Amino acid sequence: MAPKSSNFSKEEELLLQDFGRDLSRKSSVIFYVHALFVSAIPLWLFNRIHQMEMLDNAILFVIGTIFSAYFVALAYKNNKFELKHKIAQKRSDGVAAELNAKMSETESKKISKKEKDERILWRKNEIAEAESMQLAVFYTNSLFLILLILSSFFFFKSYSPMPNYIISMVGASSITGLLSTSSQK
Amino acid sequence: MKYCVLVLFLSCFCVVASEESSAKLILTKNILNSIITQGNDLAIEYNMYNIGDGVATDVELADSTLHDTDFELISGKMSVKWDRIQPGTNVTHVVVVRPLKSGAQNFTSAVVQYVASEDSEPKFGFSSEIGEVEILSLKEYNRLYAPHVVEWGMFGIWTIPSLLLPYMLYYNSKTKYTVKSKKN
Repeated sequence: MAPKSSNFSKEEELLLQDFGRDLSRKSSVIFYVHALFVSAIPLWLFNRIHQMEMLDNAILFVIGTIFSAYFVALAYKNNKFELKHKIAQKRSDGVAAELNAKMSETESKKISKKEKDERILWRKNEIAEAESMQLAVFYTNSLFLILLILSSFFFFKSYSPMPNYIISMVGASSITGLLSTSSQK
Repeated sequence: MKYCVLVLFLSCFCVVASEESSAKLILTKNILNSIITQGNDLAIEYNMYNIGDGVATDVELADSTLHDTDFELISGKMSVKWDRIQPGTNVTHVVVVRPLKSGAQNFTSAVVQYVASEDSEPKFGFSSEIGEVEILSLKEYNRLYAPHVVEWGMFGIWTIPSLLLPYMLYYNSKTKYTVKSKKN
């Protein structure tokens, strides 16, 4: 049974950091920057194609962008967590090969198998962390932009610009966030 | 006696025949554009059919429903005259105007005046009504129908840091560690 106290050992904290859902500060910053940027891209389309003036709709745009960025960032986090484990399993051999190639024969004999395995695990986790973040950003952004374009320029094309923006942004970001919560077992 | 009866019969027939020889004009008014936009040319077609037996003379078509405040006349005339329209024939007249305002516009009937038969009083007729039509503003037209090639091109460029860059980073890393495992 897990202790109720939050005083975990250093090893447990490292395990939580590596395999838990929580993000490091650097990862959070990267995710929120990406989320804000991808949520701001549609403003170009709504300004130039739907003819919505930026100053006239500034408050709506700011609220919509922040709302969308929150759900997209949430989707990044969830997708990254799901992808990391899958990617880590696939990179085991490649990472082991890389480390073995880097270590000389004498060095390889000096360190214990346990330490070697730990190094491989740490490196694998590092690679999986980076790749899962990049793939989660790509997948989530693709899904969000496709949903937004379909809703704004096909399903709700005949709507006037303001309801079109609200429905498209809320719908696309909400569905993206919702789909990220599903886990494939 | 028989000759008198025959003459009387023939004169009656002529009277009946001359009463039936009368023109009857039908006028239709149509908009040729599928999309009507403020500031863009709008073509209106008037078709006049003489479905009667006689020649229609002194035919005058007039459409005073397109006011100068709402429409600018580009080509054609709003008042046109024809000397004669033979029975069973039709004439067509097209006017090109430019809407000056957007919004709902009611296109009502044009009027035709003609003489249906010799020595008769001029007759009046009304064309078909088009009814209420929505005239799009230029802004709305561009929003719905312009191709927006430049805008979509710029959108594609904006998505590079969001889509292409993360995928390239992932793909490079994947290739690096997948290739190594294959080598072993």
